[in-house]
Amino acid sequence: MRDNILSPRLKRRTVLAGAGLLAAPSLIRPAMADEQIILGTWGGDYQRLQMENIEMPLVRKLGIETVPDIGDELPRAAKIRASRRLPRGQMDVACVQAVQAYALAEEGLLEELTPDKVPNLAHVQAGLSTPTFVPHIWSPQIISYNPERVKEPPTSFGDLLDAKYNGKVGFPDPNFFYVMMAAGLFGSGSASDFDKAKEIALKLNSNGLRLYPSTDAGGPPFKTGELDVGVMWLARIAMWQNAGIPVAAAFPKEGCILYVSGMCVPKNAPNKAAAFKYLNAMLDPSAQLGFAQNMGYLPTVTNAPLTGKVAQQLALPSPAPKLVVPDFAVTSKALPDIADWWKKSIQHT
Amino acid sequence: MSAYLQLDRLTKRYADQRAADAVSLEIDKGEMIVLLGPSGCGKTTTLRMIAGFVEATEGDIRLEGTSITQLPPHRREMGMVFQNYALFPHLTVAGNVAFGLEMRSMARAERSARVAEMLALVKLDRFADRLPRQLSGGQQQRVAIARALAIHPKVLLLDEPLSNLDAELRQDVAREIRLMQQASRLTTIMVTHDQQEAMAMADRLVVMRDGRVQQVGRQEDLYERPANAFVARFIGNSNLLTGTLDAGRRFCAEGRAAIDLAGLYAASGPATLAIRPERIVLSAATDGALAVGTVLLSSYMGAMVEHVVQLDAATQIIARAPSSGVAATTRFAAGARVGLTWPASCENLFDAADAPVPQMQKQLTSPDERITSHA
Amino acid sequence: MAKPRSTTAAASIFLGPATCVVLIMLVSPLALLARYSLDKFDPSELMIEAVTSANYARFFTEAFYYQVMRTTIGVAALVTFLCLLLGLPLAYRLARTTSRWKSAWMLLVILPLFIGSTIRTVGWMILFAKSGMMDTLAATFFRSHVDLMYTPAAVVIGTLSVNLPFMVITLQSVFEGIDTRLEEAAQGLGATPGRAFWRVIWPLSLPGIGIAAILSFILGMNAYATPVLLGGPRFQMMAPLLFWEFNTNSNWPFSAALAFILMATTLLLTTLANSIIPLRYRA
Repeated sequence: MRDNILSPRLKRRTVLAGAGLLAAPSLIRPAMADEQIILGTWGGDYQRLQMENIEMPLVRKLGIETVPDIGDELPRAAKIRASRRLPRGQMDVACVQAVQAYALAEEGLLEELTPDKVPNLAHVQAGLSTPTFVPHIWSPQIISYNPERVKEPPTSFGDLLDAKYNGKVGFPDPNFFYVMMAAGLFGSGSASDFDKAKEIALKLNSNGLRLYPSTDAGGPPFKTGELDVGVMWLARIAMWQNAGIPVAAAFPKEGCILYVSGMCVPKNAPNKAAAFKYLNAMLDPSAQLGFAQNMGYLPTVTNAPLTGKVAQQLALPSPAPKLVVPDFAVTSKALPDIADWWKKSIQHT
Repeated sequence: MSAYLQLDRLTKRYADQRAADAVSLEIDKGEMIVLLGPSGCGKTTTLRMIAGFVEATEGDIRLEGTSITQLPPHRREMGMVFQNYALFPHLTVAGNVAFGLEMRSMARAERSARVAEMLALVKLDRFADRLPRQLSGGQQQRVAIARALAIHPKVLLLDEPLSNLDAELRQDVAREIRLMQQASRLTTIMVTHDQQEAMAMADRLVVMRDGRVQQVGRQEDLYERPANAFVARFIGNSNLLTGTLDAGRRFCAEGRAAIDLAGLYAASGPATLAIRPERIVLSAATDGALAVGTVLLSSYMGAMVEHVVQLDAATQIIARAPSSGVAATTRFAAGARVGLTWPASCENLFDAADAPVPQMQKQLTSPDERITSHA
Repeated sequence: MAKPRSTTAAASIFLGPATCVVLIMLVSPLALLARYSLDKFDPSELMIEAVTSANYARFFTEAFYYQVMRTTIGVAALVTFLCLLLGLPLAYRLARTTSRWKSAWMLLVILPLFIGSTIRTVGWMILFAKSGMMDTLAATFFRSHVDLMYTPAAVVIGTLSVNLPFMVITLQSVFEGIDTRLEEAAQGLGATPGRAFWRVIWPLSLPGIGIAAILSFILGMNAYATPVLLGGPRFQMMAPLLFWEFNTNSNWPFSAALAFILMATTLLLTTLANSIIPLRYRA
């Protein structure tokens, strides 16, 4: 058998050699702090705000410096999977969404996180965390609409199927999976009912659904009049409003799917102790408020109340809308198939 | 009757530089004209203006009395042979020759007859199906000529046609072209920098320098009566001495050597004296000689014997004479004192403005007479 | 006999580094990719070592992939055709101009290459977007709306703008290599400038034009940023699809297979196109 000559493990090594090269800057970087951790994260604003709100004011004081390993979530998860049999992994802290963290945890790749290790876990809102995942930011998925053109705010995902919005409904394509969960929630009350979701998504598509290649590209169409209604995170609505785009959030009566993004520690992280300290700093109220103010995501801790304009923009209506945390056990398994179906049945028409 | 091809003050200016400056020329039908001059003299620019590849800045070109200055090249009916031949590399020899005929929409049968005729003329009938790169340089040139002649051009233009050929081939080809031209009575303008080539082929020559025509004339005119010192030097070789013309009959070279002139001149002042080496007669007798000097070098060149004679510290004169035969000269050894004489008809003098100084009618031809007058 | 041997040795010394670079940077990733394309995909294991043709079979059995390939070929071919149409006169003019501004013109042509294609595409986005420059102009002057964003036309125009400079500089050097005297000779023999071009310059530049067209076609077949940003999620081309399978689905075996299919198709089509050029004109 081939496997005897070139074992799967050997092969992973070759993959890792490449990954190692990517992490090479950490080797040539002069040591400025006592300890270093490798932080697998997204680039752009998110990483900048991590630097400004977590690392500079909090983590550096602890003698820890982060080396960012920037990339998308899926390659990051792939890297963790590929290096799972190595004694020393490639990352100390990995930024991932809750769905992905769940899948990694299912495979037994993540370190268990307890208040012993991360004291601030005690303040985390119930329902957002899992034993191996610390939520960092969250935002409910809402129905976005242009208040100047839509006089009667939508009340449900089902409103998007209304013929009066034909050609005027759209959202950023990368959010498709959350939209599918919302469709399922509307159709049968279950975010995991993808059969129902597919049926509704097809209807939505035939109502002249517009798709945008990036999250950023989803805002301006509300200003140009290309879009009247859409599906978005509440966080983005605040950001777009600040940019002068006429857009408002409506909370669907069937409930809002929650976008939860956070961090986890791989079991083979080289510097776990420092990684825990980083997670703890991330949950610090000052760091949490920094993200809310700059990115519009809601704090995941209960001891960081919002004030001022942000509080108003991010305020949830009263009575409180139904917030739905997806059943990660089902959704994480469905993702690859739904992605393929989406490409072939919705994008390609 | 006006000339067949007429250039009227043809000028080409590039920025502030004049590549051709008021070139005027009248060419008769069937005449072979050679434009001659050093590189950059404007001869090629003039040829390219005639072909239409260069637009004239000023002036006019008239063919059979009609101005063609505004005509594009493809309507001028000139046959041009380029220096590098410019054969179409993707067409066969026959294809190249037929090209101009195709452009004229000549019927197929007539066309192939003409092609065959042209290839026979240049003795390339066997190579009709070859590509240009499969031919030697000489053969390629013949294709270029056949291609130009095939369209029965009104004027044949040859741009340095021999310069890419081997030295041994050059004279043969020059003769062939000349014979062909004479046989067909084809008006031809050729450009060259080689004066021997020009002398061998032309009916008339046009010597150019710095964009200007220096002299137009037959070989004899240019050789015997050059219009200026430049032509005297460029056509054949001349001893050119700068100095002062004194009292119409003495020439004082810059190095102070005194020369009695063979002719008598009305003017005086700064001047250039031009004498052809082969017109100078050396003799052991210094009395009665026009100039006296010391032999510096004596070389046997085969047909000729060449002496370099020093007149003074700064002035050397080259004299050549046949090595044998009736006009054979004595060979002098280096260091010998010699007297130099030449006939007045072979003496050309140019004034400070480089214009020829005319000789007075009465000439003192007898050396004896001179001696008396000196005594 | 010593001399030729020593020159061969010297030549191989100079060729050595280039060969090494080619081997390391080109051949080995390809070999690796070829191997991956025969593996099996598993969501949690990434790749399971196997020798299976399933990845290739998947491409050929689903109409979706065939349609994406057809779109890709269509865009690449159309862009190449338009590139030739626009690039030929421009390149020819540039090659034949004696203006002292020639180098400035050349710089102008290649200037877009100094800007990354993504940045340039963002510029196009601003131009094409609803209420963007073109839409506003059309609304002002023609009272109509141009909505080019996320249309195949936008992708074609965007890709054209990326490929055109490559086309022009390639063609310009092709024309530059053809002796101007050949055109003069043709015109002197009675050919109008148009016929001189068609009968002499065109056949002589055909091999070079072929290379320029192949270059443009390959660039078009592999276009990534332009289809993603200007075409939008609904416009499918091979390179974005391939990257999506690799990055979003982590399906390395299938994306490796897609890469090989794309490469083979490109190779096949360019070879086919090359064989159309008559033998005698070939370089």
